Formats: sequence, C-alpha cells, structure tokens
Amino acid sequence: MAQAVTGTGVEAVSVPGRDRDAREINADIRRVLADGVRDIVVTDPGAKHNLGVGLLTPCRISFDGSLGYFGCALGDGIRAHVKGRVGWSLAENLMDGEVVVEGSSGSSTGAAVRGGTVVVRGNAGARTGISQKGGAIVVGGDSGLLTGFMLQKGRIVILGDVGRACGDSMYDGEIFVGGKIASLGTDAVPGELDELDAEWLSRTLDRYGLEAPGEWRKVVAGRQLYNYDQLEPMERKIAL
Amino acid sequence: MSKSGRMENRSSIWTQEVIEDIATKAEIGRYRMRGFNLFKRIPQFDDLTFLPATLTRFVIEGYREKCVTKTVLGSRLAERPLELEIPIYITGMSFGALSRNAKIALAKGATMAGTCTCSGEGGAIPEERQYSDKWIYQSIQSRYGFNPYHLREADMVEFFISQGCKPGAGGHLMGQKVSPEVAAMRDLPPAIDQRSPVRHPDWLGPDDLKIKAEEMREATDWKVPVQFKIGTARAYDDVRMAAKCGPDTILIDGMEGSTGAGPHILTEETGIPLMAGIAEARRALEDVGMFDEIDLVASGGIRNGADVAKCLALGAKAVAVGTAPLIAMGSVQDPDTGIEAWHTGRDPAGITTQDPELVARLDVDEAAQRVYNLLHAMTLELQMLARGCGKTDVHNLEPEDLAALTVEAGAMCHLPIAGTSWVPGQDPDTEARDQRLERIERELVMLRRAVESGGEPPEGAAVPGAGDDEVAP
Repeated sequence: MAQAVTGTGVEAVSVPGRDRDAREINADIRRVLADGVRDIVVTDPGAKHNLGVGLLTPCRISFDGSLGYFGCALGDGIRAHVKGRVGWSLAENLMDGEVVVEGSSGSSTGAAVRGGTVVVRGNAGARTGISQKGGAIVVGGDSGLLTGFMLQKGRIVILGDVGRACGDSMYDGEIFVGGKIASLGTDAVPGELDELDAEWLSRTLDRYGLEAPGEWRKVVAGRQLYNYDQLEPMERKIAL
Repeated sequence: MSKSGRMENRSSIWTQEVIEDIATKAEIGRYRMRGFNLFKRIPQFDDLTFLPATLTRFVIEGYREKCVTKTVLGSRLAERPLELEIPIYITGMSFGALSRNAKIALAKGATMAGTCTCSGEGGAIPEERQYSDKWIYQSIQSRYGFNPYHLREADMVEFFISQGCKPGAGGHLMGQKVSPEVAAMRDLPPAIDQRSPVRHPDWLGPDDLKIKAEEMREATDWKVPVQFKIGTARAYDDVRMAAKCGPDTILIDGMEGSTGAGPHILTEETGIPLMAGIAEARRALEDVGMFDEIDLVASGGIRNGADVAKCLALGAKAVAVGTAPLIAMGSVQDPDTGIEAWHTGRDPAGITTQDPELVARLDVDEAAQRVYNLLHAMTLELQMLARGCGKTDVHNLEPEDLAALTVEAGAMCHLPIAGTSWVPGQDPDTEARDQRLERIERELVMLRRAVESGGEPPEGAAVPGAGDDEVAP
C-alpha cells in the first residue's frame, strides 16, 4: 500500500491511513523502514490509537492529521511531526529523537519520556511529563493539573499556565512555567533561574519558533521526601 | 491461669507484639516498613485436601506413568505463546530488591528447570536475559528502566496492575538498597527511598488499559502474549474488567505474597487469600465466557507441589513463585528481629542486598542448582498428586478433586466440606434450580443454532426444560 511521494525533493514514502486499522498502518511503516526508507508520510491517520508505536529505526515520519492515544510512543531516534492533535500519552517512553505536534495533546503527554524532545504547540492535558526520566517536554500553551508528577529527570517547559499540584512528588528535574501556577504539589518548591537555564530555554524556544514569556517561574524538588522510610532503631542494630 | 493458679498478666488483645509495635511507632512517628509476607493466620491452602482416585476414579501409577507438565500460556492472540516445561515459573522480583547474583541464579535455575523468569520492576540486567531461556518483561507503574529494546527481547509482556501483598500501593525500595547502579538504572538519585507510583502514568482505567495493551502488541508486532497481574481484592469484578481489556493471560496474586519492602499495615490488612482469588477469577471468566480463552496464572505464598496442584485444580494453568526460591537460595530470618532482612539491605545471604561484600557471599551456580532442585521437587510433588487423582496431565486437575477442611475454605473456593456434599454459602435448592436453568439455556442455544443452520434440532433440545416441572418461573 505504501507509495513513493514525488516532487518533495526527498525520497519519501506515503503510507495511507484511510479505511485501515492501526495494525495495518504500523505494519506498513515497519515494512518500508525495513526496505531502507527513512522518510515516511502517513496520510489520513484518522486519530487512530497506537500509530507510529515502537519505531526504533531513526527516521522522519509525518502524520498528515491527528493521532489517538499513544501516538509515536516507545520510539527511539525518530523525528516525528503531527499536523493535527494527539490523544493521551503522546510519545510515551520516547528514548531519543523529536516529536512535534502542531495542535494540542491530551493527558499524560510525554509520560515516562527518557530522552529527546516532545513539543506541543497548543495545550496539553493533565499530568504532562508524569514520571519523566530525561529529555525535554515543551508546551506552547497551558498544561493541566499534576504537571511533572513524580518527575525524575529532565525539563518541562510550559509557556502558558499550569494547573494545580505542579511538580507533585517530583524527585528531581526542572519545570519552567511562563504563565501562572495554580498551586505547587507536595515537595515541589520554587527554584532560582540561573544563566544556564536561561540560555537553554532561549535556544530551545528559538529552535521551535516559540516566543519566550516575559517572566519564568522555576519549580524544583524540595527533597523532603527522599528518606522518609528510614530504618527503625532495632533494624539499625542488626549485626551481620 | 498458671499451674499455681495465679492470674497471668497476658492479654490476647494487648499482646507483646502489639505493645512493641505501639512503642516503636511512638518512637519513629510513622508506619512500620518491612519485607516478607503477612504474619496473621488466614484461610489458606492447608485448609484444602485432595480426594485421590479410589474405586470411583481410575488411578495412575504414581512413579512410572507419564503425567504431562508442559504448559502453554497465552495462545489467545499472541503469535508465539509462552511454552514452559513445567507450570511453575519465577515471579517478577526487581534488580534492586534482589542482588545481581540472585537474579542470575534465578535465571539459571529456571532455565535448568525448563521454565522462565520475570524482570520485575527497575529494568532489566543483561545477565538475567542472557541466562533466562524464557523471560517475561514487566511494564510497571514507575517505568523504571523500561526500554523498548528489552521489550522486544521478551517472551511475554506483563502489566503489573497491583500485587497481592499490598494491592492499592506501589513498590518500595529503601534507600539502603538504592545503590549508584540501581539508581542509574531507575533514573533516581542514589540512596533515596524509592516509592513507586500506584497508578500507571499513561492509563487510568480499563478503557485505557485496552488501548495500552494494544500499544504493547504493536511494539512487539503481536508476537508475544500480554499478561495482566492483579492483586486479589475484588477479584471477580477485577477479572471481569480485565478480560475485556484484551489480555492473553491474567495473573492473580494472593494476599499471601511477599514484598521486598512495604508498610507492615498494608501487608497485614489488605487483599484476600489466593485460593479465594482463583475461585473468583475462574467464576468471572466463566461468566463472560472466556475461561477457555484466557489463561489464569496464580501466585502468592505458594510453598510446595501441593499448593501448585491446588491452584491448578481451582482453575489456574500455571503458578509463579518468589519467596520459595529465595528461601531455597538461602534466605534466612534475622535472629534478632525474627523477620527477613529483605528491606534493610543487610541480608547476610547476599540475596536481597546491594552491598558488594554481602552480594559476593551468594555462590551463583550453587544457588541456581538449589533453585532448580526446588522447582523440580515441586513438579514431582505436583505430578504425584495429579496421578493420585487419576490425571495423566497436571492441567486436568479440577475442583472436583478437592474438598475443604474448614467452612471458610469451602465458602471461598465453592467446594464441599470434606465428607459432605455441603458447599458453604450455597443453598442446595437454589443451586439445583440454577443448574436446571443453565441447562435450559444451553438447550435453547443449541436449538437456535440448529434452526439458524437449517438442520435438525439435537435430540432432547426440541422442548427445552422438558421434565423440569419444578423450575421456578
């Protein structure tokens, strides 16, 4: 079903999405990757769930519409571009690469991301960057409650406002907010924006053509929950 | 009263343990953490007994005749079901909770026995996969170390939804065990107390789980089975829901299960016994017509071949074990505290520690041999009981082979009390009526199929319920 796209200046292959289920579309994507194609356009994705999942071959892939849940999840080294919107868990567990969404995304955007960059030009739902372990997530608009919940490593950038409990139970990492923060979560505290932060933010926003806000708020871990469960006195006496 | 007639100063409510517990909490100001499983007495497998073949059943020669143990899990949707030589495998226990040597020994021992291991939380260490002929990769709430490359090496994917020892809570790893290596694998700062989230980051309920399971299938090209692990709580409802989310297998983990570390209060006060969980899970799958499609796996406090046989008889196709192989490798109780030193990171046997000096104490090959010996012995015990019940395949064990020794066990497992036909909790009249109604329902289905196919109605199905004058309207 895949067809070569001509006139683009780059040898790309088109994978049709209309009237086909995710399994067929993904199988086509894997097939053309195995054939050595590294530039893929998926037409009419139809907001189907699980499109572009588990791609571990570096490639450029463009979705000519919206995706459902888990779009571009479990990937490594991909450069994905989504022209529409995406449902829950965009780019979940991305290892490395870049996923850019022109519209908005649902909850759990960039859940457990380990590397690479996830960019949502519109708004994101709740729990953006939940259990994030590395890389960066950039949201051009607002993000919902529990943004950065249990964040472990990496950076989250929200240019708009953030909902309640921002950074709740975060272990480490940094959250940068350009708008208002409804409230901070448990063990999340305000941090000092330093020169390295400012430079990184400026470079990152420039790269994606996003406008910097007038002021930044930085959120970091208070680290008060690090050793809550210390050993009991009797256990400390255990002789080996 | 003592022999001298003096009143002894002991209360059955305010026991020495209770008093010590209060004193400790008064000192530390928080709940108590520990490893191992629950301490209190609950109805369990000892409360069931087998009814071997006698005159009413054909007995199988105990030591000679073949009794099949080969087990195939997850042939519903997966292209490559998990094939094991025995219906016992090593359950998920993380690198972090266990030492590297312990993980390798379990992998080697399991492979020797023709069965598999499971990664547990915290990511995979290469040696575990290297030495595990068959390997289950766990997708757990924290996603510590989760890696799609490892996912593709798996023979099964397990969604950890909850564990029997502490359903309703995530995993715990005390800071003493979060070594720099463990911390790096989990992307955490070293030496901090790690408490895993209890909810998955990317799905919240059954509708999402169904899509999530399909995501894993896409990432593995629909080749390997997907298993849901559920701690036993509302087992009937949970399994009915789980069945609709598209798994190949469902693992039911009973409250007898252990943990590397967890709050004592959760270990003691949450969940239901495994035998009740299996019975409820079976009933749920039967009620949604999927008992023959979705395989049940059981875990939690399984100690020997008899426990395995009872699980299989109740409806499980395989079991997963954790505590038993740790004990086989040499895990010991601390003489001072009376509990396993699993959560402290100071395990003298080198099994549940990250201290290099202690880890080195565990001889990997010797421990692997002991794991194999245990799995082999449990399998022999299982076969012995199956043959005794007249089965040439351990998977042919059935509820009818069991009787309950206590009212509680009978009610939980829907089994008759030994020596009677009384199933506690079931009204014989209601049951007889239900059976008649089920038969009529089956006959109606057969009749409808026959009519739809244009054939003759099967014998006896022409007048559904004929002769059942007593059927209530």
